[in-house]
Amino acid sequence: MACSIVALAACALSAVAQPPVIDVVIDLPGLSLPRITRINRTVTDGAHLLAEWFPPAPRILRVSEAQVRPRWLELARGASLEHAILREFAGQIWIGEGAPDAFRTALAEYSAAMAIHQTLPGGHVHVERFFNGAIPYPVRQVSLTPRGSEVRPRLRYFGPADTLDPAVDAWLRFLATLERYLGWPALQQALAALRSGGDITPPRLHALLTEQTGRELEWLFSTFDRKVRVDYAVVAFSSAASASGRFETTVRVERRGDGPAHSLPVLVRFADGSEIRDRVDGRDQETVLRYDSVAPARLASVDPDAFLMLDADRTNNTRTIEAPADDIGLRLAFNWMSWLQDAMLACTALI
Amino acid sequence: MIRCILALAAGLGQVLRAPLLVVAAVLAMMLAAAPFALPVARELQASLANQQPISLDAGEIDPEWWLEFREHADGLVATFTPSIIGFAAPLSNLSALFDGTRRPLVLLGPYLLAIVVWSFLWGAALERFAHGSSRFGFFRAGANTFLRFFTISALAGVVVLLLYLTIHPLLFNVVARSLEASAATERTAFIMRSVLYLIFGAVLVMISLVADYARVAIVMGPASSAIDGLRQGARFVRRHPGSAVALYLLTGLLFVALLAVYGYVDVNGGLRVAGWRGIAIAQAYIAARLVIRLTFGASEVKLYRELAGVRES
Repeated sequence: MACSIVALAACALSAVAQPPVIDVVIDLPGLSLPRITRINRTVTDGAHLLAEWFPPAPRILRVSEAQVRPRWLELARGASLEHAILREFAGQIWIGEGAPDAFRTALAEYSAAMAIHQTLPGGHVHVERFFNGAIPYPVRQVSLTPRGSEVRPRLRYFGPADTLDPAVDAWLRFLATLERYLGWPALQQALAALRSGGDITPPRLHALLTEQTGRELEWLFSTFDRKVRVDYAVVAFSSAASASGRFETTVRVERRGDGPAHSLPVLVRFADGSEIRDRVDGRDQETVLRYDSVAPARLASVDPDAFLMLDADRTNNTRTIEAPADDIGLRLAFNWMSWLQDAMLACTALI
Repeated sequence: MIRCILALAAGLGQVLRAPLLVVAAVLAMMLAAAPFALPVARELQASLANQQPISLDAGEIDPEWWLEFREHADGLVATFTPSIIGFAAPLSNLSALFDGTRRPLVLLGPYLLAIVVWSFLWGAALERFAHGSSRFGFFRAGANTFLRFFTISALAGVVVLLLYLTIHPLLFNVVARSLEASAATERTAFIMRSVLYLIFGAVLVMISLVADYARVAIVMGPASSAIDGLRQGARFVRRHPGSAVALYLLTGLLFVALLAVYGYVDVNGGLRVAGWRGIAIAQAYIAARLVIRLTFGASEVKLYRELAGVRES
């Protein structure tokens, strides 16, 4: 049943003495009742989270068709309307009526992404659009919040890819780096303080983080301020048997572009399952690490936990020797081969 | 119409009675794709070896890993997008065909190899459908007509390319844009665009039919060269447009039915059709598509024999 509905939900926040009440108003005509009910539930939870994270809560969060622009065909599995509404709400919280700058926009996008991951775990998948974008198809194998993603880097932007401003993207990477170094609770508290009064600027965030966490973050903020390309790579990795019957392992880590005045972890994993965690100075152009071990090394990785999200190319952070075939990799390769076979058949169908 | 249905049924019967031919086509497509898939597989393995992008129990793929991987991928690996998975793969290829999506130049290699492979396969298959398996063996039949069939495909390819460079931009960059701008809703805009898809598709079908019947005319005897074959093919389509198009549409319906089944299974199968099962289903779809293609060739031979009055040798 298609219907026009205005959902009005009151979210009482129990965390504070005088719970603020937010009216969440969603005005999206033309959606089915089950769909609008699901959207309402998700975005109300998301709005609740945003208000809890970044007080003071606005009295009302309102979204209309003109703001989220639903497509003719929308898939519930893609949850793109939920994404758009939460992005809009986060925008109202961080940007409000003022002129958006890249930093505030990134704060809004990052906050929205966090709320989306919290409210839709495993409940939304990547959607590809075909035929000039009119026909959507859910690729259910690509979950936008996959299981276990809380310990790995997550998607930090849920808007249309072609509209992401590079300056906003850079701030998003910066915020992701902060989150991975400090943890979400610490970053969230600093962001809450940032919003509670005063200027919403990077220097103030820097001051708040330093004050609240007691950690020295000058190296990170100054790296970002200089707008330099940061890229670390394992450029050489070898592990050979020595005359003594042991193994000599050499790892060469290179800094491409500029780098922060901070140490970075390097992980070396051996065939017997043992590991060594070392550190290199981020300012060094090149660092050579040598190890003597009973088993040959199999993997070397700089920044193995992907903390430094400012790294422009994380695909060169790791090298392996005789890596066992990965089942998922094989499956993806076979998927690609099936796609190529179909493309070859499509090409020869007409000629 | 009855004649076309009978030709299609006879063609399907011929293909089903020639399982080795189907196996040969399936193997040929696998072997043709494998050399390109190997480097892609190597790069994927290298990227996955050090990451934990996937929750192994759920078969889920981490989009953040994929995003990072794609950002730094080039060559064939750059085509490694989420649309290669499951039913999204044929949808993306069909969509690219109609929208004229520019694909990386590096795909020219697989496309050229596919043309070479099918120049050979069509020779072997049409010879069997026209004259049975006794006259030539599989390889000799394929080799006999290879050069002529390759020439036909190359000429048809040039014409199709010209259409994509001239008619397609006119229809979809000029006409479609003004139509879509006047549409009140996205649905109306898509309906208008679909009409243009039909118009452009009809032109492509005509070229495809001429190339198809040119190959049939060569195997059936009246045409000795590729140019002569194209002349005969064009003459046949001009004299019997209704039957030729009807047979094409009937075969097209088979393909649409195959897509519908694949789409239904992929959408509703959930995790039961994920992982290796999903790949087996994708390969079954490719095999079924090959059966439909061979059926079309066999039914075209049947129709040509009936309408052009060529006697069976």
